[in-house]
Amino acid sequence: MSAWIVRRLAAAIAIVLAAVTLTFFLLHLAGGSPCGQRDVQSVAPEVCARLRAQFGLDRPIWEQYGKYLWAVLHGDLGQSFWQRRPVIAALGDAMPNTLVLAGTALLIDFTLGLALGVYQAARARRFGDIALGNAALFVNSMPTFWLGLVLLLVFGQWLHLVPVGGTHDPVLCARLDSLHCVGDRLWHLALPALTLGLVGAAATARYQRAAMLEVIAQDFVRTARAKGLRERRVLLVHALRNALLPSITLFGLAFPFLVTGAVLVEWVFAWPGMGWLAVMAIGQRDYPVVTATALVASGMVTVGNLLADVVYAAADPRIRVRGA
Amino acid sequence: MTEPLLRVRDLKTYFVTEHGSGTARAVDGVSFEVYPGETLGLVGESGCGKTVTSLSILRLIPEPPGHIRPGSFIEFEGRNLLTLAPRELRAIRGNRIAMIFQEPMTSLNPVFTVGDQIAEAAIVHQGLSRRRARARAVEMLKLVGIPDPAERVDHYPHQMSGGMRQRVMIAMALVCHPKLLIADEPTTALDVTIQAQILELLDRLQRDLGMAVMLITHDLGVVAGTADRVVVMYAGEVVEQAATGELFARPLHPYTEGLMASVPRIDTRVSQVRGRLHSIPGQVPAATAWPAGCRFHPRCPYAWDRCRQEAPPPLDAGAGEPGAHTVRCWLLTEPQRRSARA
Amino acid sequence: MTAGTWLALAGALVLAFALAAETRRAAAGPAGRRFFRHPTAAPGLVVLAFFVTLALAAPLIAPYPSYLQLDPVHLANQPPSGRFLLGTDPLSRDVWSRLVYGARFSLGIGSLAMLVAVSVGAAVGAVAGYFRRWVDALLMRLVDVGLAIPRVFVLLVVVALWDRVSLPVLVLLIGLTGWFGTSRLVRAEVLSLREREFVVAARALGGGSARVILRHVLPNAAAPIIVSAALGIGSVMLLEAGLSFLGIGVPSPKPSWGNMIADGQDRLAAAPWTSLFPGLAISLVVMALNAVGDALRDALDPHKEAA
Ligand SMILES: Nc1ncnc2c1ncn2[C@@H]1O[C@H](COP(=O)(O)OP(=O)(O)OP(=O)(O)O)[C@@H](O)[C@H]1O
Ligand SMILES: [Mg+2]
Repeated sequence: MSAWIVRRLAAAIAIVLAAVTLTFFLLHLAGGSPCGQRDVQSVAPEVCARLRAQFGLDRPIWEQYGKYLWAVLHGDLGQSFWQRRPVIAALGDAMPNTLVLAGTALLIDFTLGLALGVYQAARARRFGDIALGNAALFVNSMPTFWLGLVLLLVFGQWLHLVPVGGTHDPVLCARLDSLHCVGDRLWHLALPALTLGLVGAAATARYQRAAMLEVIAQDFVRTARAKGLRERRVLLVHALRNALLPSITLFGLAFPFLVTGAVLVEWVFAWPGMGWLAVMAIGQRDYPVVTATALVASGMVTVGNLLADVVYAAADPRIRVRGA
Repeated sequence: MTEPLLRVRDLKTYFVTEHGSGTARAVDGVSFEVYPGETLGLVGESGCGKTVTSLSILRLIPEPPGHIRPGSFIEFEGRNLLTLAPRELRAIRGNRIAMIFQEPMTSLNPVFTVGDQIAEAAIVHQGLSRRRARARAVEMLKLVGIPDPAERVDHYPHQMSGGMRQRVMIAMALVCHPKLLIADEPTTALDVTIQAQILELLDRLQRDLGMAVMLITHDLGVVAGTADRVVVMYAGEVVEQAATGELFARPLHPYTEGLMASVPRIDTRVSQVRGRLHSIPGQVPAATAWPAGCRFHPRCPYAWDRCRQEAPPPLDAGAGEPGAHTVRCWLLTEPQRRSARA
Repeated sequence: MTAGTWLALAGALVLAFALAAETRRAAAGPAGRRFFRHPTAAPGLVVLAFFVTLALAAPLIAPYPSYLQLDPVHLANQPPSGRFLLGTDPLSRDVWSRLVYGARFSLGIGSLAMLVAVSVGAAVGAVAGYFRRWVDALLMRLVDVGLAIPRVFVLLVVVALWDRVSLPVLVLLIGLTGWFGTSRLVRAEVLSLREREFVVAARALGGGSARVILRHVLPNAAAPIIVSAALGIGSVMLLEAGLSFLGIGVPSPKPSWGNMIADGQDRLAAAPWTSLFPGLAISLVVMALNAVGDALRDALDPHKEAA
């Protein structure tokens, strides 16, 4: 088992390394372009000079690559042209916002998705299941940002229940650590997290329903019923425990979705996280920031997958206890 | 005679098949009794409806596609199981009537320890504390002959062999000392040597605990050594039933004859024959299209016109008390046809 | 003008129903029956046929040119009415006309990008599964990396580095970042196919690798490829909409459903129709694609039936 974890870890590191390499070559490929042939007038010469200096574009490519790797390893992701400070500092401000948003969305995604999926499986092919199934299918087909806009329109503009953007109210919430401020932050978080969580939950529910139905058809569920257990216990203990295992894989798959969805949702709700930072940086043609966000996003996805694999191994006795 | 423990009358369990190919009449008017403390053998080829019969008794038929037809009647200790409220039914399942399934490899929950799974029924039905229930689980594992029970109790099913798992299933079924144990082909999935061990174990436990056993099998050889009475099923119906000695001495239904011919030696418990019985030509037809008349007639060496048109009712074979030996076969009315063939 | 609009709309609807009915009649085999057993398959086909008709017959159906700013002073943000079926946007362009022309961009980019993705995915999967060994190992590690890097960020990086992205490049980019899943699927299929008698025989007869793959292996792996394509177009359309919404996909004033949503974003409270209708169109089409994809899976790949 520990050998397996080491192998899995090595694979994850290799993937992140490959992502770093990829960004390097993309940067290198583009290295000439903003200062070179096209668009000459749109880039200030000073920016150009900084870019060339930053990447040492006059050096041989392998040396550049080595330097880049070394720098990235030390958390040096370059300078942001636009914010005029290290990229890592800009990311440091944005990351917590994204993590809070993605984390809350993940919570909504799985609690709501699992509950709906189990409920649907328990009433399979009856009205509640079919209605919820179609609703989930529709939500799952919506563009995340559009759902965000619709929720914003209804709850923000029409009902005035929630604020229309940002992470907190700078007037109400002058001191960030006050208790009142925590409430204000949660209030701002509600809609973006709900948007992202709902779309995720629609997919999770679909998956969980199928997993539950598959488990319910298995022999040991019949054994549990034959023992005289309540149907609730049969479903929520015997069936769900087994149906949760595949959902852990889903947990790994949720990360790419969350990271991608966060870009659009953050943009809609002016939520200054990584996605918002990346889109803003594009407007400012701030390459180092954009590539750094891509790198961090890949890292998050890889870590998420790794986490899911480890949790899966820990949760499944068939893997956890080998032979004993 | 004493009152039966379980009385099944005219049980009909049908399945509505999905693609509109009709209704599978898996169990179609089955009647029999189980008396306290006895072993009843239920025999028939694959697809005859043995499992559906036993699942119907505990109302474990998946619904949909299955349903038990109105007019069916299953009485246990004087109560009709088919009209019980879910709560009362749960008090019987696993407590008064327990069941062992055909597939030991898949009938245990892979994510719980065997100890937890055995203890569960004791906690639910007898209100034991977790600690007492666990001690009980260890006791049960010992009873069914699992070595190192104190250690095995914390193992997961995947750490055990098929025979071990079937022992665990038996321990789980017996933890509340049921009055009736339904064992659905408990040995079919196991190796020949393990089969004999499990059957011996069941035999011993039945005597020690004084319960009735309904032993389902497609192997008459198994029945010969263990059962007091035998019910032979074919195509969703009971075609013959009698005391074991009587049945083996005087098999009247051609299907029973065929089953016997396929057992190499009647006194062996363990027959080598599995699944299809080679001496009966053809196979059990699909449950969606039972043949008209006597359902066995397409495979019967004696069949004549009447068999093709008219379904025989259960006829009394006249030995002993009325109903002690019944046969669904027209040969009983025209015995000369049998000798003519032979 | 108005009567013509209504007539064209009715025509498109009738045509959509007719097409779906005709498909149903033509697909009489067991696969067809499995397809139409899904309650959502037929409505899905109608929705798809309707929007494809809109896209193809856009000039006939749209009452105004999609770029035309009718009167930015007096006709901006008009609510839906007989004259403007779905209202007008903040630049006084007719939302219905833009939606109809937008179908061309959104559906077109979606299908073309998926075509790219499926071709690359099938090729890579077939090569990996057929040659196995280091080729397989190398390609599959590449796929691992591809799956670990979120597509949106790759596209953000590319757009950031090259500024303006033309439509063909956009299609290529979306396609080239979307083949990883398909290649895994095809590889698995090819791995099992390559041991089957007819492939072994073709190889024994000295068929070249390319020939064996193209003639014998890929056609037999068609079912999962088609299904993954059908299910994939939806997500590609959502991606394109997202990029266009962020202003880095289809550039304004070309209408795509994604950038139309962005057009209405600032005046959401005053003129919600500008953003609502294109989003509804995407949702409907993606849902229809998913429904048809699910039904196709059952029809072509019955052993992988979803619960
Ligand atoms: N869930 C179900 N859906 C549809 N038909 C079913 C279902 N379960 C059983 N049947 C039908 O009932 C018939 C009898 O099945 P049953 O499992 O009772 O046979 P059996 O006598 O136990 O055979 P075996 O020796 O193989 O266990 C089958 O042929 C099948 O057509
Ligand atoms: Mg059976």
